[in-house]
Amino acid sequence: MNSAPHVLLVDEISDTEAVLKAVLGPRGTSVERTRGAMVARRNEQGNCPHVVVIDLDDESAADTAASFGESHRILIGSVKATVEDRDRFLSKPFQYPELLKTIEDLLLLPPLTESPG
Amino acid sequence: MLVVQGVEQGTRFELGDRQLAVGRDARSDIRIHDDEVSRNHATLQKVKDDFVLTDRNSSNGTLVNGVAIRSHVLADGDQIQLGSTLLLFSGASRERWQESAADRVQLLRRHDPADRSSIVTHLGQETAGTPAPIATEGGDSPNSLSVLYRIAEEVARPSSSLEQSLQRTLDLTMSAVLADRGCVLLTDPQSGEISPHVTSQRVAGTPGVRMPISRTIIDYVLKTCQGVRTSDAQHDSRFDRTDSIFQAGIREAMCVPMQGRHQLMGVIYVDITTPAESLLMPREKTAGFREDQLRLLIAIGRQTALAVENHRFQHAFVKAERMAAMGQTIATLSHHIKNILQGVRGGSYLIDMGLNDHNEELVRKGWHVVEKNQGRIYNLVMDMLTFSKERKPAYQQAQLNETVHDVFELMQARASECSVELCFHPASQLPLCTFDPEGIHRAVLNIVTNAIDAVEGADRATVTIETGLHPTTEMFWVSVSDKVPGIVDDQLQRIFNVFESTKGARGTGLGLAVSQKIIREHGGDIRVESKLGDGSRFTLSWPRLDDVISSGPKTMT
Repeated sequence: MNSAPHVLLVDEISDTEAVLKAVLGPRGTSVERTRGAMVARRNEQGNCPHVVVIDLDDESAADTAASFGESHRILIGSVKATVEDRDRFLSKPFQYPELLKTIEDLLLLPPLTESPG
Repeated sequence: MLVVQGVEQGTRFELGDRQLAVGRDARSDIRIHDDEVSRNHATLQKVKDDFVLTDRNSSNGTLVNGVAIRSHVLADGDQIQLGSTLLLFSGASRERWQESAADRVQLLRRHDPADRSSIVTHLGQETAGTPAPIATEGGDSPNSLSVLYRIAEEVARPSSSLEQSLQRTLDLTMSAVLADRGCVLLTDPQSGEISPHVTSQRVAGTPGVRMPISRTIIDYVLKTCQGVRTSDAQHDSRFDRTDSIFQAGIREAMCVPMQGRHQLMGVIYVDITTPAESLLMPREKTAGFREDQLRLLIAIGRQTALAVENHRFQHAFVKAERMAAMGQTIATLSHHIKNILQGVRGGSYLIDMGLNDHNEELVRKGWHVVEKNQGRIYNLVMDMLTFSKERKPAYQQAQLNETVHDVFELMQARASECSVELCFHPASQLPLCTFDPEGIHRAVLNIVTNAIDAVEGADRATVTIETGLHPTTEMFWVSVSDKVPGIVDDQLQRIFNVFESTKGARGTGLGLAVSQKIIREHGGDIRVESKLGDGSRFTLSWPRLDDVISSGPKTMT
């Protein structure tokens, strides 16, 4: 895992990416967005993000979440989903200050060392 | 008029007071996308209260109920065949049928003094269809079987409304049992109230006189599930010939239950009046009902009840399907709107933050997000409007290359944002043509949007738009092709279904269905070629309209 704070957004729509980049970018956190089939290709290149924000409304969200076992995960969904203790859940439509606060809190935590699934 | 078979299956055309052109031509009021239909196939004109369908020397003719016609006054339930398209003419709503039936029937109150009916014969349903003790003219078994066969055919006819089926069944029944008047009364499944639905009159009665129906007799039939023959001549042969009954004649009636599989659906009630002068004739010469006719009516009642029951099941099934479709529609739309709202919140948040920090760059970024979502909600609303209303294309002469170029320009920013190269190869020497520029713009826009979404993130992602006019088929076409990733076969079958989206959170499932609707309105269609890994090519094509051939070329600059 790189030492520079790195947030990965798995989302079909680019709006949240634009907000996170505008707010977190100047604070030294890099923000990257991926989606669908590109997630696996991106993971092959290594680079495990500190925090991954996953839109659960996307079809392959469950598989996507499982592939980020070493990252802190924030799950966003229209329907309240059962999430693991380590995960944070935000229901849509969420408030951006809440998302940003959650990301910044998780960035302060040490990275996870193993994948609980 | 409802299309029950053909490309437009399920489309309903409202008929008004003005003459309507029916045909394949783009300007037809009732446009049928069927190659076997002539451009100007027929006309529909309202004459007083009727609609007259006239064939306009069409190549394949106009058929009404399977018979070729030149000109025909349409009746409720008529089936019109144009090419391979079948339309059903429906002149009256269910409410109109019921109102009309209620006007012709006088439902006597229970124990009404005016109700002198008394039961002279009653038979259980088990006797239906069994041979009558005495086979007489009009009541012999072969005739009964023939009537039952015709009624079975009638109730099983597809696409007829329940009221039309009941009306034809009652008309056949009246002829079979030689009744003067008849009525089918149905029980409301919710309230349990029984009310007249259709009436029939074989013999002209006194104007303004309604058919009296004894509520007491109906109650008896519903309670015992037996068919009855009644007479208003009290004690039948012992009536006083000086009584007013003798002056008016004797009225006999038959009332049978309509017993479905699970419940009573209602009753069939028929009556006959023996004129006073006939009362002095021997019994067999008079017009009263016989027992074999009652047996036949009981059998008809059973068959009709099954038809009503089937119709109600079908109705409930369609209603459930409609509710499910409505639920899916609301879920898909609310999901899409929620995503737009999320975007607006994001943009507003940045603007707010930028204003507080006096950071113009942040305000600009926020405004960009808000603007983008404003565009998304505009497109959603336009797609919904296009898909929902019966719009007619606003034809005008225009240059197809210019319309498609507008889409190309509009989508450049989106393509660039998604790191997609968008190319446009317009055909040279494309002539002016008649089409709906706004509609075609929307149709192409939706396909290009889908293509950009499909290739976003791929290496060397490219979307190419091309236009052309096929030299032999005279079809204008616009194609949108991308290189990756292609559509899997099972998705290919469903992509034109409304609210079927393969784009996850970005799709409403409306775009492609809207594009297809617009192109079909132009008499064309959308062809899709897709190979997984090789990409997809969507080709929108529609026929050149006749009146623009002489307009001469206008090239794109």
